[in-house]
Amino acid sequence: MEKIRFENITKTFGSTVANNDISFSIEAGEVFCILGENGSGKTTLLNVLAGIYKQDAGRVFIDGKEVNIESPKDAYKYKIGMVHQHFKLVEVFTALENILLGLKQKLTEKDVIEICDKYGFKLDPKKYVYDMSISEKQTLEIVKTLFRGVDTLILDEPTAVLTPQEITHLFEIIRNMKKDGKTIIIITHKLNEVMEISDRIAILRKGEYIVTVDTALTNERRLADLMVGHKTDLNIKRSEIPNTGVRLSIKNLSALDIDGNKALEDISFDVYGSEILGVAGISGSGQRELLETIAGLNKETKGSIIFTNPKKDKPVTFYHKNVNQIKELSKEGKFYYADTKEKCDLTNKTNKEITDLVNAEKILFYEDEIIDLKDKKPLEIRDLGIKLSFVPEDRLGMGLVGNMDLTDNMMLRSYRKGKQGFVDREKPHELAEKIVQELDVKTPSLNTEVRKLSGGNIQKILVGRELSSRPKILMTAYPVRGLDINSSYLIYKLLDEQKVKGTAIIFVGEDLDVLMDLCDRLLILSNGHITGIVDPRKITKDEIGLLMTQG
Amino acid sequence: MERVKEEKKKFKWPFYITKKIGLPKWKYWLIRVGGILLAFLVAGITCAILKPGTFGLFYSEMFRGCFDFSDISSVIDLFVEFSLLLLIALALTPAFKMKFWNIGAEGQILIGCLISAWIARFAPSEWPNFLILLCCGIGSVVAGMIWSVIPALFKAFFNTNETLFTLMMNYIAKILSALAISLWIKNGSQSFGVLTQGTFPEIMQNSGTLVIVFAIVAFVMLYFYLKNSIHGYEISVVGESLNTARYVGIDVKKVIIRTMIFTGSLMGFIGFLIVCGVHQSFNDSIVAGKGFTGVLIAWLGHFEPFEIALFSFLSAVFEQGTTTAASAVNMSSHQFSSICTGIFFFIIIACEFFSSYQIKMHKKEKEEEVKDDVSN
Repeated sequence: MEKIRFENITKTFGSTVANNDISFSIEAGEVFCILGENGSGKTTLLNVLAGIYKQDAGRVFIDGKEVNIESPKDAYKYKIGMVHQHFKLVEVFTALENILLGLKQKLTEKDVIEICDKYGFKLDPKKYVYDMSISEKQTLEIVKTLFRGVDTLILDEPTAVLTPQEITHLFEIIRNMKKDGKTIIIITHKLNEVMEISDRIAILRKGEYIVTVDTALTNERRLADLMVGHKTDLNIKRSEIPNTGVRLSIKNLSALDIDGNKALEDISFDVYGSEILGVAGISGSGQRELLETIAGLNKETKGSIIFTNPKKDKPVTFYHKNVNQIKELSKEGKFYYADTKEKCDLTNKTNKEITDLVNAEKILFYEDEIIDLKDKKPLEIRDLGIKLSFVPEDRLGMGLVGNMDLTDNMMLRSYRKGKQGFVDREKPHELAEKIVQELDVKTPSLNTEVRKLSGGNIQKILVGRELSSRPKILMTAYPVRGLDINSSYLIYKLLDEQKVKGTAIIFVGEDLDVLMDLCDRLLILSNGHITGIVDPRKITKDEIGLLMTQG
Repeated sequence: MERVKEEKKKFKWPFYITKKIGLPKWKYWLIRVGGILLAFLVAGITCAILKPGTFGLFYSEMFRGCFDFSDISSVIDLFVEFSLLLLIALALTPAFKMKFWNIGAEGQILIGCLISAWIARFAPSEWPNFLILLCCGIGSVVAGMIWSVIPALFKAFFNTNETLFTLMMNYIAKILSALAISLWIKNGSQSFGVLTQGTFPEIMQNSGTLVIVFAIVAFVMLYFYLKNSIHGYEISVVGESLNTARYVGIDVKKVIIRTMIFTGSLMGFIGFLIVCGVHQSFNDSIVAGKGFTGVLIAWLGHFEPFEIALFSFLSAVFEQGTTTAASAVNMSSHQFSSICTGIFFFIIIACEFFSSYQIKMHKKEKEEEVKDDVSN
């Protein structure tokens, strides 16, 4: 029996068409997946059904009757409930209090426990939301909708923040609800999960409806092609090359988060050159603080972050050090002459003489440079000549400035190089041109404000800029979040290429499949502790999932 | 069922407001130019309503008040007013770009005025004029700087709200000025009189002419400071995102304090120009709201020097033109000019609203309402 039917739904935001003339129907009592890349209009369409948005044109039918859903309250009237990606709970209330909000009928803890037992939820009605894990909050959101008499449940990217075990449990619940006759609509872009849980799949691409397929009659390959619109290569390349020695050695590092809570506790690990070290963990386990601490953005830290620059017997360069630094270090006996192998003291030489010697590569390092980065600010790290690049998860809020154009964003890293207090826009301009060309950035011009570009193009600009300094260490957090498939695979490719060039890469990711395919080693963080450093070639996803929830 | 009834009774506006996206630049300027013309028209109509039959006279008098080249001094007066507004709005711009909402321009200027008046009045008369002027200038700059750096320090170290803080500093400056006058003037007239020393030379029959020169210099300098200097770039980054500033290693506290020192110094200097150049006198309302008008102008000019110049000029024309027109038709010139300036800004701000939002009518709801009416 048909439960919901969309007819010619169109929804635009300004000049962006989020949904264009979409028509399909969903049967009662099925698990129905809406599959599409980021920005394909999945969430917009379901928000129309949930009463968050009003469609510009088109009609929605429920049980064969046309309905006009003006608000989420209206949606409940038609027994439709939605669990959003960002939960809408009152942190200082208990589970029960959250369920009671806006309800007219009286409930007791017993009622909640009853429903939980019926479907297999694990939820303590007396627990406060701020004490809950992400999976518990999600459970609470689902239970909330059930008490509002919902028989059609919409889940927006429900597995994005869950561990493999939690996903398995969620799918069990979904199956129980289906048995109970409820219709479940899941918005997702994860192919393997679609195959596992759904009965039928509707595919959206760039706001257009493509097709609905029976899950039993399709496979992941075909779905991917439909989703992207052309043949795609879903293999991630991991170049198997030997590492080039320890680059970064982190010992007993502890750090606080922005609110002053403990985010990292006593963690130790090494990062090697020519290696991608993956960092896995439930979001908020300290990944962000780990990267920000290494980058020098976190003040309250304990422990040490030892950076080893492989400079033994290599010439000193001006890219690496300036004249004054070279003088200072020569006093400490860090260099020797290439010709005579004698220790060199440059204190009595003029700047010109030093410049000539350096340019002729006549001054070499005795040993690798070893520097503790702890308590060093980003600028100090830079001044020491350490090429450390960081692609933060918040691209427009941290890595780039949305209201500036491409050139000015390139300048973020180099604007201090200007002369007499004025900035030099020429080199950043050239760099922007180069990145646009090499990474195929789609932009009307170099003078376009970056916020006007799509997520994939924004990320290309950021990654391009960070790679342009030929970093010794590259840190990146969720670099493909919000990106389309093609851009994602381009980023994976760039990271692998950078690894081959000898860079030590720390990659914080959320998609375990990707982490396992791309990384050479995998570090698992849980609650600010390291619960394992494993070889992804020799471990299963379930084992990693267990490590993610330990400690 | 009850709930459904309730919802039907709820009143609904027949229109709603949505955001306009992607308005082309020329259309935006068309709206603005239209707004400016409308402001002139409405001011004329207001004049004609208050004093019937003066509609034409209003415009001719307004023009004469501003651009009568036979009376060169009055034309210079216009440009002095324009220069002052321009200087104030420009001085505010770096801080505003940084999202430091300094609305204390009035007080920062006034404290500069106070120090200039104090030095000029009490400097030994055997000092040469330029030395007195130099002392006035330096003293005012320091005073303005102190007035603006106090809120900046509190913002940087204790994250206090700069808007309230700078606003309150205005009142302190005003009270200090009133106090100073009552201490200086013992005869009860409360009138400061005219400065006899420490005054700008008259050029083209007007002692304010030099102000115009300073404004031009400041305009050029600020233009390049904002667009091409390292400081200007840092200000933009801090204003756009504190996290990005942290990420690239900008010391945000330093930038806030440095920028406010800059703003305050310029404000103090403007105070010096007003006392020693324009008025050659002093009282506690000598700034006459220019500090607040400057805030408006900086905003309307989107912190772009050329746009700021345009609105400073229009604002000066409106003020001086309507003052002349008012006295020509026998009205209280100050009040009428205030009304007209109000009309001007009101319409320009409305233009801002209509260029970023549009009003649409509900289509379906209209039909429903009609049905309701029939059933009633």
